[in-house]
Amino acid sequence: MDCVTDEELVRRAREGDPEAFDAIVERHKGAVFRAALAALRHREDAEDVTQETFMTAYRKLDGFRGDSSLRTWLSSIAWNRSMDARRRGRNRSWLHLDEPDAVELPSGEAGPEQAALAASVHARVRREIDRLPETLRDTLLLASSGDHDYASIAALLGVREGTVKSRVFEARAMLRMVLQEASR
Amino acid sequence: MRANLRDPLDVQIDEVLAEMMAGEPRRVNAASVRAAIEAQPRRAASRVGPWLAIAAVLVLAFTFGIRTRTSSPGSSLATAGAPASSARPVAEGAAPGSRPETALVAAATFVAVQPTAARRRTGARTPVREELSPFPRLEIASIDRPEPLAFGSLQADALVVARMDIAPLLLTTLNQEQEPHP
Repeated sequence: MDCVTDEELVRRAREGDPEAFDAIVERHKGAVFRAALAALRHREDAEDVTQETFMTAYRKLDGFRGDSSLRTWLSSIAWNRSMDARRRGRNRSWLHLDEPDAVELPSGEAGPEQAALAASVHARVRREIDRLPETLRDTLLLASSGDHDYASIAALLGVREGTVKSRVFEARAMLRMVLQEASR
Repeated sequence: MRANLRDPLDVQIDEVLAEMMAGEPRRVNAASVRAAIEAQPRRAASRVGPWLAIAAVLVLAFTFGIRTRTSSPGSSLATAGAPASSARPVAEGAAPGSRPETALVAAATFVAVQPTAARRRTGARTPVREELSPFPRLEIASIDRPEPLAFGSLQADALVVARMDIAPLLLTTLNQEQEPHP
């Protein structure tokens, strides 16, 4: 199934081939999860949204026209569901210490003091990312996921590609400014 | 080489962003999605359960209302001479919406009353079946229709003020004598 195109998988899944839909899930679950994670910033909630997204996609697969890529279509379902969850207040504040990935020290070669310093710098950068305005933060995190180009992010957010670029630039500029002020 | 020329702050930001967005879903896979999809119809069926229970309660309340109405003929006989608007025995004691169950029974009884009220208007009498009456007879006093409001009796005569003669005030008529101090 690895070499089969998305279009072919969709066609087979529509015809009732369960393996084709399984292949769609396995191929795109990471991108869907990261889109939800960009919106919710909470792994458990993002996993819930990922599951719901594929259930919705299974029901609405006939409605996929192929105007965008399958990945963008799935991610847009995840994004809309994440926005609903966010509106309902389902997403909790991001508990950095509860995240196993978050406490990893950035450098294995550095000494304990340097590693601790780097970890605290990373924690500070995370805090500043959390404090960014929602539109800037959403766009920056989506762009950092590596799953979507600017055109796909623009389609996801319902804005123009130029807006995505400017938001990413502005978000990074704000982060740099805040972190430089803090380091003085 | 190019990475070394980058601003260290940018490098840190990129590292943190990569950390934040890294990872794969741990619980979600093709099997879990398939299981959830297959469980969906059962979940939909279980969602119908509460609605079925509510429907059953409504049917029971409706049936109870009819039974109450048909097995207590005293109320229909006692209210035979009363105006149709006063023949709502249950609604008298229960303010609608004060308690859900009371309101529910009141609504059901009110619906059940309608055919009886129609019979009463046509003069038909319901046969008394005392053995089927589980509840004490409900006696409702008749309410006399109030007199129609007339405005004729409210007309008052014109208000007449007696004429008063007041002499004009003149300095010459004033008493010039000083009153003695006590």
